[in-house]
Amino acid sequence: MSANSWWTEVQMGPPDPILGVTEAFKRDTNSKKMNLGVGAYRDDNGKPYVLSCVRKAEALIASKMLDKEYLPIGGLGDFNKACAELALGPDSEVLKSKRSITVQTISGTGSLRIGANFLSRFHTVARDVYLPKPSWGNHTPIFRDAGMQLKAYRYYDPATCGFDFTGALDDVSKIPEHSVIMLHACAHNPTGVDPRPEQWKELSAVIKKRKLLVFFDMAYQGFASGDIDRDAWAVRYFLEQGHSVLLSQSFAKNMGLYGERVGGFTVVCADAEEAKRVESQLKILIRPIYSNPPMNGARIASTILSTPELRSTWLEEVKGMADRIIKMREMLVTNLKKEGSTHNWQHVIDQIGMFCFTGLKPEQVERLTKEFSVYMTKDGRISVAGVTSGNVGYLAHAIHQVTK
Amino acid sequence: MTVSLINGGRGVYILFFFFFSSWWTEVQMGPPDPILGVTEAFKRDTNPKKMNLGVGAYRDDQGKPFVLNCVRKAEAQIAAKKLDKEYLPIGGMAEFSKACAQLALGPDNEVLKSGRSITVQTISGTGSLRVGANFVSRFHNVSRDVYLPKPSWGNHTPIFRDAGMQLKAYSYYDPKTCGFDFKGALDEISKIPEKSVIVLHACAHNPTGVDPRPEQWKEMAALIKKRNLLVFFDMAYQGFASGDIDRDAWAVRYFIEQGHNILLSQSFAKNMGLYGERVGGFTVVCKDAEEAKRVESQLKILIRPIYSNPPMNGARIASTILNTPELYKEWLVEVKGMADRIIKMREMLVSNLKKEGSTHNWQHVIDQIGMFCFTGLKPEQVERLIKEFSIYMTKDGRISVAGVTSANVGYLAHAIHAVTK
Repeated sequence: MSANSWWTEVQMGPPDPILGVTEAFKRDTNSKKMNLGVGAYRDDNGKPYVLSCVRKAEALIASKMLDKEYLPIGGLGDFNKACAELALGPDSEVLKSKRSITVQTISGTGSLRIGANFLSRFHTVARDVYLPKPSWGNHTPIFRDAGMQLKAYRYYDPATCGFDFTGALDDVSKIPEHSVIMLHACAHNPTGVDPRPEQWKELSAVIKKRKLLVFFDMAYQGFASGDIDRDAWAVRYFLEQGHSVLLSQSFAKNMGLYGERVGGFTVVCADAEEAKRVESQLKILIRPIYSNPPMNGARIASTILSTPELRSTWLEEVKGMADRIIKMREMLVTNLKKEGSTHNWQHVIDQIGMFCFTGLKPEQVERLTKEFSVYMTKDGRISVAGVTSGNVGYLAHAIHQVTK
Repeated sequence: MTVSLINGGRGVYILFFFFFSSWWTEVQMGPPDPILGVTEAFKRDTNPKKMNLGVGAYRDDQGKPFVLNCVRKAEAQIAAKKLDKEYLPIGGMAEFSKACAQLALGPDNEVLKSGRSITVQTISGTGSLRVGANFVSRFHNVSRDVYLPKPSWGNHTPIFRDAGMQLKAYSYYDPKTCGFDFKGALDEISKIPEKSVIVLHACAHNPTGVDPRPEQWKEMAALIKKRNLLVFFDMAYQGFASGDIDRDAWAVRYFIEQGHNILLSQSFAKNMGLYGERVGGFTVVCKDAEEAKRVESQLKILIRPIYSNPPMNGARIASTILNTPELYKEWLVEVKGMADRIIKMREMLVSNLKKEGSTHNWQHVIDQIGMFCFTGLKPEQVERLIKEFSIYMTKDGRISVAGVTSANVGYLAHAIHAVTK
């Protein structure tokens, strides 16, 4: 019956590194186990958190008994407008002159991939995309599968667990003209290390001098510092300085809309006429990938952003999430000191966003997993979102044990 | 950085010229989507009798979008559960994928029992086809050619082309009969190089509405097996074509029984009215369960850098309907209702054309199946329908029967007669 096989040569692919962590975690029977691989926010009881502004928006939407007709190829118009305003600020000159185009995408990944495909098709002057070292793991296959070449610039300094500013400037100053440079707008993933404003300013100047095409990945606006304008500062600064950027936005974390897949992709152009041409080509690119984007999440996000009371609630809730993360960072360091650790853990507090690059070595990570049932990725990255007031003491104890 | 002062009349505008003129100077304005253009022209038209027959979405007999009752009920059930919004797995919601495969293959299918297939949730039919196209491009190294029926859905071409495949065609529609060119299809298929990919519309062929009869499918299956072709079924209308989900899936199931290890794209846009929720599935039928695991791992590696994981809402709705007996039954009744209304509109259109005095043979309008009808109208006639009667359709003479209602079918018949007599 099934004699024929087309797929004999298809190899078993390697399991996803992060999923492997969660799978091992699930199998573990230790009651004190902790999953610090998860890239999703958890409340102080370790539970997934659906924002109340999201529930309210859902109720509003449900009461309207809307239909389920296809969205346009570029997505929900109201969403796109609000999405761009959130990133650029409502008084942005770019928005006033209509010289940008924003399309709704399948969260951050979908946005990055549309951007990568667009670059591959239209940015014919260069094939190279420069990622910070390290970067989010999925950036590499996104650009590679789209036909671009991956390169890197120095970013993280393991000696300080901080930003290698000199190294970054040095590498960036040598990037060939017209190459694409990817910048994490805030809350760098996986390190949590962000440039300071004065460092962003110098980067902007060097990047402009090198004539590089800037691609911002902003997956954590609001989630990093708790302040949406502060988190978007770098993006807005670069625009003021004349960079016509590409920008990917995600609402997975800052609105907790993970599985609804809500995001946006923006191209800042020379003028409104160019924006129209770019829009037409984005639609031609999107149509044979998925035709038009999913409606539910975009309706929720749009409702929240454009309903004043919901937007206020959202800003409070996103600040609440950011504050809890910041507090866990502080409690972890306090507890490490109480344990008697003599190491310098300042980076845990200095880093920002969901992730923390602990500086732990693979052997230490292995011990944490085996001896304490504390799960994280091999690079020593922990998701601070997985830490609670209930387990931070245990975590500090375990980390001290493997590092003393 | 150059600063330039431009007197803008009301004041002086300072324009900062960028260090680099523009990244996108060479980007051309792309052609507008052919079908969207129809709807846009329709919207601008002020004629109260206007009809939009370009729309590829079901309309009720008042010409309104139709959200199924079973969908509303499923939504209420889901809302009551206060579920979280955590990421789905890369391959989507497991209960959905299982039910999706069962719907297509039948719950007692040997393929499902042996675990020798993998189904992933996708972004409706387009997303499914694209994942399939990308998979074929990456792993089907023995051939680059994908054979589409002539004509096929317009979007099939860029889907496969952007995935890196080459497009070819086999004869399918016979404009002389407005029916299936069976001989031409067999003849051309018999010459397709071995191991090429052949796309088959499982039911309700888009855009013609012309489907092979079972005995014709059987001959095609035998010939395709002889030519050793990789079959890729596109099933966007299961249940929507005849009103019977098993009947509409007959060709897919027959091919599998005959030993074809097919690729299959499914959409729930039309049959569940979930259009904008983007619900679909992509299935690879493999040699055995071990191969299915390998294929699954590679599908995930392919999907992760496109969109990471699929949207949850529509899959939850579809899964609830498929897995809740009362809702499933209700769904079958509603999908049959939609199919029946379409069939009735076809019959009414033909009887009205006869009443108008048309002497043409309009039998094909009744013989064709599904949402679309290839009227056989020529471009000049289509032009007149638009200009003189405000009846909008695509230039190839395709109408969406879903846009026809008992109230406007008479007007439509009158207009068609006027341009064809």
